[in-house]
Amino acid sequence: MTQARTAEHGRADRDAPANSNEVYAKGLARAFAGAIIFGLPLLMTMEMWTLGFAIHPFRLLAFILSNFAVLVVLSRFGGFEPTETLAEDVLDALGAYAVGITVSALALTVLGLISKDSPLHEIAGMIAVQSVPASFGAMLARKQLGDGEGEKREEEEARSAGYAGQLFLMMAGALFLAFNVAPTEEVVLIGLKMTAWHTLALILISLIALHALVYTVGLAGREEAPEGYGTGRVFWAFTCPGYGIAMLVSLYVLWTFGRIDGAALDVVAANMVVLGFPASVGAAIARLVV
Amino acid sequence: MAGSRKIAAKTPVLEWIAGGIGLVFLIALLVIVGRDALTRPSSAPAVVSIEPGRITRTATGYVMLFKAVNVAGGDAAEVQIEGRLLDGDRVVETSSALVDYVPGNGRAEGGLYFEHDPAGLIVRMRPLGYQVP
Repeated sequence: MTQARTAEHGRADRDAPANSNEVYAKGLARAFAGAIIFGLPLLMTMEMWTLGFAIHPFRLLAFILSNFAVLVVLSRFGGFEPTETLAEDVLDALGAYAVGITVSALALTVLGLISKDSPLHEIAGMIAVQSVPASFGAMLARKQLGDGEGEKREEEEARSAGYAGQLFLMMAGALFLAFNVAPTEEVVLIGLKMTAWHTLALILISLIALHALVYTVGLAGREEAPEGYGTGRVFWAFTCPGYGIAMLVSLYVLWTFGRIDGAALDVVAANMVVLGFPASVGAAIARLVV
Repeated sequence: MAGSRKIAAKTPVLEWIAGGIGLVFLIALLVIVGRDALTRPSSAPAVVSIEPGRITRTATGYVMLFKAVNVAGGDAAEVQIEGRLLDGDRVVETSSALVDYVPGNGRAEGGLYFEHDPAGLIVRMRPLGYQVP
């Protein structure tokens, strides 16, 4: 039986329960480290504490669910534990959420931001908002802190090498970097300080940065741009959709945080461009981080 | 079916535990936030009342603690609180404080400084206004 299974998978190491538990525990420890590293800047951002209750509950609900969906797909492309099936990816995402929520709840309590007098929905909101970057960090821990070697790793690289996979990674990268900046009031303030010319210049700079990064470091599993892809084609196939993704992610994050409620169209556009800069850099370097 | 059995066979126990904890946490968050979404009318105005607390002597006078309790669903930011000491109809002293945030169905605490001892006088505390966060 054991022999048959070993032959079937060709990976004996995962069949020994004691060993695999140990491996998973190591992955979990890395996930905790990842959650702390990625979550800490936002755990110590003042706006994040008030967002937990200032955010519209329906938008928060949608945000929790979409973060979960992103985690499941990220697990496909290399979560904190090698996976083979969708069920495993869901389990992986749940594990990452467990780590993210635990880290957020503990950190918020230790930092004295949650008190026994706080109403339940406020505590839940704070933890829910904070657990987004923390669970993201938990999911990315293997890539960032693990060995990242072996054939499974290559398999995952191959999975994300498709065009849809590339675009998804761009979206995840944009979401992560935009989320790190979006809660602060500075985004709105910068949007107000910038004139239309500044905004146009920032769009141009974002596009150039995105293009340069995609061309040099951003493509999955390749050191250089794929064969047959000249500057023009990379621009058309990756930079343009990349910036579009960055814009949409910016709009979504701003909307979630209620930053653009009641704002005029040009103010919304200016805020999107401001947040679009970190988002497009995030999209471009997604391959390095994710 | 065979697929799910295969997963069960090679998934470490610890992974099931971590996944289970994650599922419980996630559902708990979704239920609390979801209930909040359905029951809390965020457009409803905040109703803040002030409960006076302990009086302590300080180097320059007295400090009177208070609790700002929001009994409605709407959140209130920058809540301005005024305290007056009355001797009959005469206002002896007025003091004020600004509370950053009083969430819906939540509370916040603070203190008002007075030069006179509030103990022998009538204390009136009330919120003056707030900002929707």
